[in-house]
Amino acid sequence: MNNDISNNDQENKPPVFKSWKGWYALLIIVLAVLVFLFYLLTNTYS
Amino acid sequence: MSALDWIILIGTLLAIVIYGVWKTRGAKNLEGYLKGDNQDKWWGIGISIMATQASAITFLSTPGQAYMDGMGFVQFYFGLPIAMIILSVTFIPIYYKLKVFTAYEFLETRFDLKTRSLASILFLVQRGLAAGITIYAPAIILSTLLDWNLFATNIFIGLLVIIYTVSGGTKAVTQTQKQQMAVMMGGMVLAGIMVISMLPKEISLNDAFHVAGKMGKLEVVDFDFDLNNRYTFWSGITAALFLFMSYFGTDQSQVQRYLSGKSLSESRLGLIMNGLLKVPMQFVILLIGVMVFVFYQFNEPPMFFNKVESEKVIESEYYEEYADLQENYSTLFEEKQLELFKMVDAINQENEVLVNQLKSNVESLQNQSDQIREDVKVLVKLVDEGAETNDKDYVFMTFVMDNLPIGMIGLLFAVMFSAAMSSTASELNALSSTTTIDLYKRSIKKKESDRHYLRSSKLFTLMWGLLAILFATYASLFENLIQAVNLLGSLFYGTILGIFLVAFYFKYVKGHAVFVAAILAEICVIGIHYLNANEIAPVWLKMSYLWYNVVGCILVILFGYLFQLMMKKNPSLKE
Repeated sequence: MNNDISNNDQENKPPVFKSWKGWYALLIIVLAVLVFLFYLLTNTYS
Repeated sequence: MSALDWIILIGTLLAIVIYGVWKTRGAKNLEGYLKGDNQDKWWGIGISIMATQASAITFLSTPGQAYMDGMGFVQFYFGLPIAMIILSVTFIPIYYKLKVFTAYEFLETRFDLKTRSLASILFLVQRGLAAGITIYAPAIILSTLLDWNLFATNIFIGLLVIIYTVSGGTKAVTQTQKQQMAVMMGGMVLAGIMVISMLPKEISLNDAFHVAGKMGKLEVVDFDFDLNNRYTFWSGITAALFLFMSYFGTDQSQVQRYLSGKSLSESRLGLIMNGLLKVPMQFVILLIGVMVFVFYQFNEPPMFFNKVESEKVIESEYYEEYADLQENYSTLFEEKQLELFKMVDAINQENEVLVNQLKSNVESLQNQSDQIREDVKVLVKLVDEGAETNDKDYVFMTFVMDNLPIGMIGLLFAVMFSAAMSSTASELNALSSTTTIDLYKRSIKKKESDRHYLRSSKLFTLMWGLLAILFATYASLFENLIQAVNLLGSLFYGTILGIFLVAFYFKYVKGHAVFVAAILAEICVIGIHYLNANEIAPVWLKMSYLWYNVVGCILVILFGYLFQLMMKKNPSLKE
């Protein structure tokens, strides 16, 4: 089943990035940036 | 409401329903009805996923929650982007590979029929009850605000949803959710802009943030690790992660949204879109609530936001007590307003000592105002013992009705009804799919024509819709029902997620072991909840309900592995 899924991944190339890992990294980076901004907001105005 | 508001409200809702029915008429087969012929693009899937999760209570309660408790609730969504990654890597490729209609179909391929049936029945019970509450919870608030009959409001929401969901199935749900989401986000953003523009001229946006921050409403992140504190950074990225994995990965009302995608890539991108937009969206809704709070620091708020209940007090024998409280409340408000203007000046002059002194004065006056609100709640209870004294859900729409111009009020009510309709439609669609595919077609009528199953799906959608209205109608008879049904998700999601995680990652564990493990884990979770609900749990078992998702999931994996090990050593246990 794992091989089939890998093949499926090959057939389903993502847009913009070379692999889906690029999109996943983007999600994590955006989350980290948001948490950092929220932290700044908390500290600036509290 | 004015005639223009009524035209906007009724016109918006009817236009969406009529367009949805017309655009998706004539589903020819089961695949088209339940999976929308796999025609959805990533942005349609993303919108559909977000619209399904955003119920009317999201838009009614969230600003009120920020008004009362601040922005901390946004941390609940920190686990969502991580859940989207795990689902994109693990769950969706397998669903696509097996070409399933429902998530539970996969469980029979991996385990056996009884595990599939157990998971689908758990889903039907939990989601069937929740569908009633999705209608009832906003109906009780909207009927109060609009002075409508509660039963009529339930029927109004339920019937509108039934019309297009029965007619067009998944295609109609996805199609209408695009328009509903546009109404929801457009209306909320406009309301946000209006509340900021209605602040006093002397108060800039930066000043508004300072006022909110000094009054404890801008504490967005909390890094303290406390199992009993529901909203912290840690509970968001751990406990809520499990909840979101279960909700988006195993709840058919969400799985059906991305299974209608054109390809695996489109479905993945739809989930990624949800992961990118959900946290900012919740932040904006909470921020609108905080801005409403700041608005009411410079414009006197009602003592109690549910005006129907406060009117009852005014008309009762407690009128004089109420009038005295109102007088004190107004005096305190004026004093607080003066101190706030001074505090804003001190902040702009960067006079820290004076800011702290004025902040302390403002807090003291706020505490006195809060005490008066508590006294009003006592009067509300004295007049009507069954009255709900938590007025958080009425804050935002009371602000809308009292302060926004004609036209905006109708639009904001359209936002609330659209949100109720979009989540109910997904639920009915998913309940029908699971009933048809996992029970009716699999175990009751196995060899009928595609046309027969298409007709059955429509009938099951109608049946679940009528049941949801019926349940919503009788929901008020049961005390604490909303809380009970909200809990229901966390009681079952952990176990269901555990079954799926064992299926994906623990190849060693087979069907019989995971079935027994799931039942035992569920008993343990219910036992833990019983101990916590009755406040007799030992310290190490004390937890908020979010953590039931983690406990249920881990127990299924642990028990499943142990039972499989025992079965290998003692094959007679398999019997």
